[in-house]
Amino acid sequence: VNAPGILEGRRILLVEDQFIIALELERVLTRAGCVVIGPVARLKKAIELARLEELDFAILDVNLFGEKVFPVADILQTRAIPFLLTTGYGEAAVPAGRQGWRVVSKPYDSDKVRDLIAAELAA
Amino acid sequence: VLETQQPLERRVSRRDRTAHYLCRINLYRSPAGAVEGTLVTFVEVTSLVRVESQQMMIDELNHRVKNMLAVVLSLAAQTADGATSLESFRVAFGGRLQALSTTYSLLGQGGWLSVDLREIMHEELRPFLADDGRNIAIRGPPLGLNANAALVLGMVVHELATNAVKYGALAAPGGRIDVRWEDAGGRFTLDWTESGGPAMAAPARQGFGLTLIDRSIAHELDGSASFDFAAAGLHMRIEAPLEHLAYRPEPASTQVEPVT
Repeated sequence: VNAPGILEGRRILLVEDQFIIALELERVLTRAGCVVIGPVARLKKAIELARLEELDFAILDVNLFGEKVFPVADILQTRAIPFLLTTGYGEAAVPAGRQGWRVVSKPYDSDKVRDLIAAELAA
Repeated sequence: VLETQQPLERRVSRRDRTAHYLCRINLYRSPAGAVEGTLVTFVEVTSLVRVESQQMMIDELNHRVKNMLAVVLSLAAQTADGATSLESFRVAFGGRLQALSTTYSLLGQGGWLSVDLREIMHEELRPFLADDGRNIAIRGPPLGLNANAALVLGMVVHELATNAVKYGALAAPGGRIDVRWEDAGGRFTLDWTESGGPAMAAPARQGFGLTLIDRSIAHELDGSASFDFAAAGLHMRIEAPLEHLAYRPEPASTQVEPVT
């Protein structure tokens, strides 16, 4: 799965409102050679980055201080940038009509998320 | 209904929310099809609503538990990353978990909505207070924090106090910590000032504790933390917009809602 260097220099948007979780993902991704954009905790800021930044991938926490991250996902989808949703609500968190969206359930192992990103980017 | 010739359906609740009904207003027609009035029916749906709200609570609880486990997992991974031995991991991780647990207890008492900053300070600093109580002094106005700010500041205070025990004012007898905060003009400032400890120098490498402080303030509260490692003792200042810290009650929900 892990072609060597597939993550090197990749720009990954990180949206997560729980700081401790964000910091851990950032650590793992940075160590794998990624350039982490963010992490950001608020929907408004996430939308801004999703519109403007050059990105290879995004990790989106579904619930941001009570707001849903879906507008960010819609923007990324329009720009054809792949992303993963993370949530403690499970698959049911994805709204109807967007069945194609990939979901990772919390709690997750950050190394596994890193490997998932590598697999998606290699595909 | 008479005007639009369309039926209407609403969920209505008794004022004290102990009973719920589905109310329908339909046109009442003669066998020939002429409109002669309206027919209003109430179907009691109290038990259905109760099951629904129970399910919502279970879903929400499930979500919170999973989120908390995700936080614990991340905390463990990062504490392990900076640990020099299994024992140092055990102590540091245990302390951080205890700090989180303290804030969660306070939040639980406040119905998961709000906690006063003073209470966070008392509870998080209590384990570090000397018998004569002279080593720590706090001063600041009452400030109801939202749940997220409470968790962040609880963690920050824990990291600062732990740091003070290892390298700062609490590492020697006679050392002292002054914590002051204010909320002037929509801005929150907190000063953590250490004195009387061993001579301080800025750490060669920023450990997870300090990273946690300055990044969590920036990330979750849109604020900043500045460290001044003066020889007399550490001075740290936190600044953040009050709107991201303060608890704001949500507007009360309406009594009548359209059924979708």
